[in-house]
Amino acid sequence: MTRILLVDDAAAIAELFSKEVAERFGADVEVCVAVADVELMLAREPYDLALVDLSFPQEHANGIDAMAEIHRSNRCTRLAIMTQGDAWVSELLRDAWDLLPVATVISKTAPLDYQLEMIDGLLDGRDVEADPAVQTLLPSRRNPERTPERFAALIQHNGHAKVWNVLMDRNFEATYKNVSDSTGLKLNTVKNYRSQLLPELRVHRLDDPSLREMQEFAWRCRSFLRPYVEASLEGR
Amino acid sequence: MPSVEEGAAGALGTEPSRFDLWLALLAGDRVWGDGDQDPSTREQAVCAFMLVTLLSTLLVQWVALATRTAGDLRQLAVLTAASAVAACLLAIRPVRLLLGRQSKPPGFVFSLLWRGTAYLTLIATTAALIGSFRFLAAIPLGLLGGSDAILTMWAIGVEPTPWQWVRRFLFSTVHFGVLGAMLAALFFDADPNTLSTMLGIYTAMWLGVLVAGATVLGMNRLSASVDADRRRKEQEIRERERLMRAHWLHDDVLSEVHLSTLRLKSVGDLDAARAELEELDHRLRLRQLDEVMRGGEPHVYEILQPHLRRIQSLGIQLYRVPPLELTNRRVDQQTAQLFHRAVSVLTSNAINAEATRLAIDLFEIDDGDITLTVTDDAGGFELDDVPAGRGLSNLIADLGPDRVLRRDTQSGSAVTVILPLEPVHARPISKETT
Repeated sequence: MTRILLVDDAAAIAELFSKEVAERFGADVEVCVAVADVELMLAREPYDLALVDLSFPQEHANGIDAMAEIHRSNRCTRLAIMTQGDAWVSELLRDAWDLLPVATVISKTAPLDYQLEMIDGLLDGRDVEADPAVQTLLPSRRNPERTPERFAALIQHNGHAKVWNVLMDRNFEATYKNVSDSTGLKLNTVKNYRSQLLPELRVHRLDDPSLREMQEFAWRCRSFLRPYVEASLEGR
Repeated sequence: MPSVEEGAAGALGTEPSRFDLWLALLAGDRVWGDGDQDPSTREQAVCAFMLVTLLSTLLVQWVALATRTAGDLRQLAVLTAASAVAACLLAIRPVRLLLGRQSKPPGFVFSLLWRGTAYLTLIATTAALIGSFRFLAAIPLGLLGGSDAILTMWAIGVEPTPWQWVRRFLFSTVHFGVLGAMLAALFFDADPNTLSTMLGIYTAMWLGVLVAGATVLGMNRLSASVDADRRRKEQEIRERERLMRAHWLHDDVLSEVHLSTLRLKSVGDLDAARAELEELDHRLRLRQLDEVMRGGEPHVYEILQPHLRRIQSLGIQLYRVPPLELTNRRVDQQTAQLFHRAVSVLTSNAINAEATRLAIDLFEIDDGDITLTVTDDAGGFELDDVPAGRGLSNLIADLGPDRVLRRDTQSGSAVTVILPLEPVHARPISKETT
């Protein structure tokens, strides 16, 4: 039986939608309402398709975390984003589109038949174009230079790892002084590290970002950044 | 390594004696900026103050020079010129900030060296030029140093604690060294003039330090009080917005829902009921867009969203839409209204003409225009045949006939509207949107 995982914090809508999908495709659809629970769900049988929302405001997590986890667990699971597709998630959407093998993006507000048609295509293994209403939020082509492995270049040495380590916390107030205090690095060293990272950050569509923009980026992409940061801090 | 929480909790003003912080202050605020952010009003106010203090320093020098009766004229001229050059160099940054011009941050060492040299030159030439009235110059120099320091502190994110710094300096080895040198000079050279000069410099130094400290504190408090005032006003605005939204929810949304409920009573089948709900959804999205546009400068994709959703919900195939590279730009409120109106008119026309396939294209033209093209398969029409008073004819009347173009396609027509990215001032815009 086809297995589908639906990760969405809007529990009531997710339940209704999962019933429709299960009915239409005779699939086993499981709903996960928290990114933190995704790991638990993945411990069971692998899924053929994962439909993942991007925004989880109550959880301080995001859809990229969930999708990266699913992808790590089973590379054969097809990934699709289900989102409202508004300005709030536009950067998350762009990063997910560039960094993960996202098969398509389904708009949550598209007509049900249209959504089901897209899911049908995904289950058949076809290429499914992103929902037109969401296409206006997607770049015309993926950035081929931008890969999860490329994040290694953002940690050229242990000092960079220290800076990213504090920036990955979204609640941290990202000023030079705070970063300096939290990492034990000198103010000028923090500034130099930022300057060293600027060329590499351009690959990630960030042109001369401020510390706060770097923090937002680090939070969005922490699933890819964290392994390299931890390896560097542990001296691996 | 300290944890994030530890660092964040004790981040502000806990280690004021750090040497690198002093170097950071001397390197100046420009080093710590991002180069692409507009200066804030408080920064510009501090810059204006800095310019006044620079001018005051030079004025004190010139007054002292004018009252001087002895001294090597050539030496005095060199000192005056050096002082003026140093002041001009230090004025570059405040002037640029006042003009709202930012540039890429310079290197730390470069900035440290030239600013250090400029400050040293200004202080040394002032001390040399005004003789026994050094304490007078210490006041504008202290004000200058204090205002410069506060700019850098804001850029780095340091909470100023100048009195703590003064206390630490008082008990520092540097200060005891200066005192020791003075006592040694007094011991080995009992000339009253030497003692008087040294005491004068020492007093002026402390006066300058105290004035700088008071400036840092005063400006920071003033800024904090302005911030608090602004927050209070923002709170009031938010309160009003909340009331307005509550009113909007009650008057608009609920009455729309009520209207739909009444209509649904007379609706016979499920499809008609669904269509009614889709229409309600569209109306609410348009209202949401109104709110977004009123709130500031929306992205082009935000304006397109409700129209794309509507087209989709009507079962019309959207076979081409513009990508993020074109829709990611922000437009001002007036342009947003015009763009929204054009999209609304063109897509509504296609929908009313029973199109089954539709494409939306955007192109940006170099001379500040953006073209919007809606292509459909609903047969053709002539622009001249569009009845007066309709959405399209109003759009033509407002923008000008040369800005609305139509051409035939294989199965329908493509209507292009050329929209100015700057607000249209010359022509009155009619209120009608469809």
